[in-house]
Amino acid sequence: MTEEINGNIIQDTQPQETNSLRARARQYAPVLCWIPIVVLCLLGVVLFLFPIANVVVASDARLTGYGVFQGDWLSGLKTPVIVTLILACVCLPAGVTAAVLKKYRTSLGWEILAVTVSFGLLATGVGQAIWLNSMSFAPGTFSILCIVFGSVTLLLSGIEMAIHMALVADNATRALWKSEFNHYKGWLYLLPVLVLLGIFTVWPIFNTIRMAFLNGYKSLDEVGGQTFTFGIENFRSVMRYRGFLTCLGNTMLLTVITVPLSTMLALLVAVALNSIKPLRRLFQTIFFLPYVTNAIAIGMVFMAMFQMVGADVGEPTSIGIINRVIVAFGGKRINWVNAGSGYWSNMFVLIIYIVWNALPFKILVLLGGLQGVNKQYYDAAKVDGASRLRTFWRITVPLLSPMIAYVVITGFIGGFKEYSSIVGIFGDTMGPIGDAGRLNTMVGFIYDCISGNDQGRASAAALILFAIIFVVTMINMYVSKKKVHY
Amino acid sequence: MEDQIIEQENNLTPAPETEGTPEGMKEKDIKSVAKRQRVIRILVKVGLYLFLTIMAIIVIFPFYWMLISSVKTVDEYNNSATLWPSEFVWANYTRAFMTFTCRSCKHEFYSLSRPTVCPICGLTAAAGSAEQVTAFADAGLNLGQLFLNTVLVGVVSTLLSLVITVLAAYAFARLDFKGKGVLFALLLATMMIPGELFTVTNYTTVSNFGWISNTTNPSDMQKFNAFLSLVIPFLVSVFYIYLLRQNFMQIPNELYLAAKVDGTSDLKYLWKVMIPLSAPTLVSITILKMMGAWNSYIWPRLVAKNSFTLVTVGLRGATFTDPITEMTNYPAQMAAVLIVTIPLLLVFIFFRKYIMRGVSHSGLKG
Repeated sequence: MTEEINGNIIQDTQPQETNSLRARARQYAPVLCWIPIVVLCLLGVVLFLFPIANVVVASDARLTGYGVFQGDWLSGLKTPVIVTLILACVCLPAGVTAAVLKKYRTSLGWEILAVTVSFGLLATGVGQAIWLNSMSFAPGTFSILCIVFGSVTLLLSGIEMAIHMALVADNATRALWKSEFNHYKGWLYLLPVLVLLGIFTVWPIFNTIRMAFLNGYKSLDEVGGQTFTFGIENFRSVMRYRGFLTCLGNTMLLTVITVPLSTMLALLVAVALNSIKPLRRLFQTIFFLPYVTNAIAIGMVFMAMFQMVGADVGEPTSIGIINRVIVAFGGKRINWVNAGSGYWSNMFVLIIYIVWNALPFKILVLLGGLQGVNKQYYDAAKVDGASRLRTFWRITVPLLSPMIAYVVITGFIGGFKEYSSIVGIFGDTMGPIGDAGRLNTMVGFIYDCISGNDQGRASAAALILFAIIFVVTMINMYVSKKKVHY
Repeated sequence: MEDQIIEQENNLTPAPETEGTPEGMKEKDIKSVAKRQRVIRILVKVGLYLFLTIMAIIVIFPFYWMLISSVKTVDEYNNSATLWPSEFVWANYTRAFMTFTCRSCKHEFYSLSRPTVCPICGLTAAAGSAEQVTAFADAGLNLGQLFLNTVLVGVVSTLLSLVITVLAAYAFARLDFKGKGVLFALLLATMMIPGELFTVTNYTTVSNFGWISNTTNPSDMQKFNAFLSLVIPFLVSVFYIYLLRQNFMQIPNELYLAAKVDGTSDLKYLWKVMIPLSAPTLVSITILKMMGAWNSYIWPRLVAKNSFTLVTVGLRGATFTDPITEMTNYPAQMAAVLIVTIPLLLVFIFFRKYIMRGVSHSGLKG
């Protein structure tokens, strides 16, 4: 009965619609869109299916000297090409698979294929252009062709989908399309983040490990076609290198001294700040000042305060405020930072500066913690007649222990990455004049290796630094698990 | 939000003194105990303020010294330690802006415009000619140019990174898609790896892109490439995504559903509701990012030391050697340092709340 009625309705309505413009558009518009899409996509697929041939042959005669097939496939210079190839090789099969899978559910399949191919083409073209730019060439015919094809097919697919959505699809299909789109929308929003993270975060993780385990790796040599054997030679040479041990020693020393010192001081200041009311805002602002300043710039000020120029050759020609104060109190001038100064006086200045620099963050965190402490504990302690010192050790410190743990852990991590405060005081020679590199740190060592185009050694040192930071953080976590009251 | 707590009662308010007193105590004893406690309390207060004042002086002294030294004469600076300059030398500041190096005798000297003759060795070059530029090169501290470069990098990278961060944080906070949880966890995991590990490869990547050209006289294209190498690698900050996502999550979901019922699109909802409601966090991110550009030293020195010099790199690179005495001109150096520091202090004065908020949030993340 109902089927008959439905049948009647369909029979009734269909003849009317065939005459309307809408119905005609339904019939022809998608076809009109599809013809160029199919043609262009087919051309694109031809370009796609021979990506290697594209990169080598079709791109440009200018690139003959930079043959991709020479040497190691993962070589540094060819990175953009590899990325392009991976994109191309992944996009096409993925597009086809998605199309086949989706076809049965949503009738969106071929559109997905077209969009995927378009993106693949665009990526190939852009990759090529970047690669050419890296050799100071203008984008070649191939890259331009890829980009144009990709944009046109993408545009046409969009138009086709819009027409289909507006004219052809019934409500159920529309709803289905919408839900499909919503499913991918999250990834669309994340696209820029994922692309950038892929290039500048994920790839470096793998590549740094790879470079660290290729003996004597240098990226310039790799470009030149040299191959490297797998091994731990980089780590060995780093460890054997005397400069590295100096850096390691300096870093350890600075961290071990400055972290407890600055934490204690910050705790004292925070407690004092928390127990006064007038002027607290003012003090808080002053103590936060070092945080917003430039570590290099203020380092130069510290240098100026401690300096004593020309003390190594005779009577100093310029004496800083610190030495004048020492003399005023009847002490002897000390050559803190200039040529001919001692290692420990250098270290002393560095420690003061690093502590000065580290205080604001720690005070801020600890003060925030203190203000969250329930006042009832202190009232209870007062009623019990506990002394101030006892209250401090038995109430303040335990209740603040999560903050202290946090400050110590971040302090250790920051300490092992110490670099710019030393540059601020001593310049990028990392030491007083005549003794360059004496105060170098782990990070400084890594940057020296990068500047010297010694990526293998730099990677090995970076991995060692990571391992140290990881182990120290784990130890910190373990200790704080036992001691911290959450 | 934590700001209000600051205004709580200070915890030194004494408990009522009479309550804990033993019964046998006389009126006089109670009075004397109360007096003693008051004295102790005042002494403790004085001690606290003394300690804080000393610490504050230590913290603030380098700033004061920088300020004072920057207006002294070289003689006064070198030969005395006066706390107030006997003579104000404002020329130190012009020196920070316009310093030139003579090609033939390598001396640095200052001049209000690019010189035509070297005061030391007498090298001459016609005004406005190409030889003049090579003969008297900027001595690394053309502060105006450095400011411009740094602001350009700061503004562009902040804008791009805000867009990227907002979209990503929105996707993580409001949209549902497969693999969201895993992806977010992976993103957070990358925060544990020290940045130096990435830098090694990123330097290679960036130079493979053709972005590095450390020539002293770069072409416009080389400048643009150097600019890209300063902006692009640091656009994504997982921490800011995390911060903003937490902020977005606090906005009640009912608002979103209501907007959906009204037929508002996601982007419009993001623009009209989410962004205004999380404006303080966005301001924090902007300021921290701009300050990052201002203070960054290591990466800019590595990739664009000469082709696109940022302010900190230029500052550290300038020597301020006096051409006649061959001694470092510390007052001029301090003037340059002061000029570089002042924008930071201004930002701090006007946006203190936002900076502290951003920092304390980062403090709470662990």
